Amino acid sequence: MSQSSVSLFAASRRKVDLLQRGLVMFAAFAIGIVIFYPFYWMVMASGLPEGSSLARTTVLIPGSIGLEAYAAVLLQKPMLQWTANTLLVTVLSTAFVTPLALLAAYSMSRFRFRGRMAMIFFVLLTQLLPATSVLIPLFLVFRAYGLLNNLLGVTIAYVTFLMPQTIWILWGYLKSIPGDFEESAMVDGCTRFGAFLRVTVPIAIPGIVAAGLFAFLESWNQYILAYALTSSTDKWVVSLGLYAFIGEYTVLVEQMMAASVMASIPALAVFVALQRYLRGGLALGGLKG
Amino acid sequence: MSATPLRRRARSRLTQGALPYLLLAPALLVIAAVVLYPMLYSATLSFFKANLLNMDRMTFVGLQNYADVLTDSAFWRSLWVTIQYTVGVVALSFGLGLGTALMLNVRFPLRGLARALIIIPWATPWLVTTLIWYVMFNPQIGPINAILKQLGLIETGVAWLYLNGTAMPVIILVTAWRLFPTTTLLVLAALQSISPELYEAAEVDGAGWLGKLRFITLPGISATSFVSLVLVTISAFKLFTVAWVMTAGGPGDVTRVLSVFVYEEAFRFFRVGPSSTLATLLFILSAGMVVAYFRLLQGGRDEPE
Repeated sequence: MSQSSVSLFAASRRKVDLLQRGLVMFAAFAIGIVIFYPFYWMVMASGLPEGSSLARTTVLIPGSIGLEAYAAVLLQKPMLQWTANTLLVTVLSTAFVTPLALLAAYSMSRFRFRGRMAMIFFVLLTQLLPATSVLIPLFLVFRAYGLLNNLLGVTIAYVTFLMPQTIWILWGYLKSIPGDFEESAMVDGCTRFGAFLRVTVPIAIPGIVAAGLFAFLESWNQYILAYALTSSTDKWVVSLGLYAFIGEYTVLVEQMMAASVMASIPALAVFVALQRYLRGGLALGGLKG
Repeated sequence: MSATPLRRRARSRLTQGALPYLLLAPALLVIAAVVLYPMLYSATLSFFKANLLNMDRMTFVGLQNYADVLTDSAFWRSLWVTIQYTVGVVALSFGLGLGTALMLNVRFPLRGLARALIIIPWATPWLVTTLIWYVMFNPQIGPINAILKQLGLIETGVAWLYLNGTAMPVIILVTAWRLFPTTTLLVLAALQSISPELYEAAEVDGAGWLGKLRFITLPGISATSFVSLVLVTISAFKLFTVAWVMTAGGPGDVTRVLSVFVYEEAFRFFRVGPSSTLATLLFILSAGMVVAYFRLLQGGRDEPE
């Protein structure tokens, strides 16, 4: 290939690059609109005056933006109580599960012992099971022990799906950390557990935070377990409160959307605060075997 | 491995003793109490006939529930619906995830912002996602019909959630919208780890856009793609909220996935036996899927990287 044809090639490449970039930007913009339109619509509908969404369809420009629906939800529904319940259950279950899962994941990632494969198999298997498939036994046991309509019961129910998931994420992460650091610490006189606490845990912080974040968001998402296990509205988590709007939604679209905005804020806030851990923390080695 | 004798001793000490079990014990106790016990309880109940509201009257029926469920066309129909739903969600969210990841890998203004925002649907609570789309698809007040009318694509409002042909595509769309950002993140990370020198070498060899995609990009992200496919499959297979809130399994049984089927048997019809039988069958089905997954992993290992 001669010199001139190389430079011609480079010039046409630059043109193609520019064109490609322009196309990608246009496509990204279009896709961005499709992806974010539902959020836009939620916020716009939540700002409409009571009952007005029935009168006309809100596609783009709202007539007015107000906080009427928010005030109505806060005054007429125990929204704050539901949010507090959700926070309590979510934080308790996450805080309970994460350290135990960390110990188990450490054991699975560093030791070869009898029953290890069975454990790995079981942990993956339980993640495939719908929450509804353990509802009957949980319901019966909780009824026998007075845990129905009880936030402690809801917390325990959340642990059933959080524990396998958290072990799985942490196992994947710990596998990606070489054991050499711990071994050096042990050569220097640390006990095995001491090496784990002083060497492995600090290195694994991004993974631990990511697993905790997943657990938090999963709990915040939960709906059917709480639905089947609680009956009185003062024990509801926020997703149950949202679901109740379905029954009255033809008259209360604005309130339903206002409540949706309020229910999203805590989850989004936690997510935004911790999301820098997400990329590094999700080694996902676990899934690669 | 170049292990020193000291290290080797340290390593051999790892494999001995009760420590692995001690570390595992707390989590294992919890799992036994809140996961294993309910499952075994459920398996036991599958051999009985009972009403959830009157559990004092239980009659042992042996394998009758299994015979009933396995010969019930509703079960096979629900299994088929679950497969449709899972495959649809996995395909659509993977397409969206791959497409957005490829785009976000090209340099353009505000790319950083776009990368940060793309994950937002995933951080939105499931029920909020479901409610927004539920209202958006409403035939009277929803904006989707309004937009389609303005574009001249439809003349009268379509009752998306109540038609046999549209209910399943709609819940697949909503679920994929919520799930695809994890695929974007994972695939984007894999794309960034592909060495630019590979692309330069390919260009020198005269490879076009398609050639680079096929011979460098796709092989470079195949392992990660597999991981994200597994993740989305796990999420979609067991998902309850969307099918329940948007369509309640309907119209008819068009969207009655297995998680909804199990729930309705138990908490709508109070039939403990069939519901527990379904739960046990789901357990067996899941075990089969995990075995298939392990096989796939082992098969993948023999292939060259």
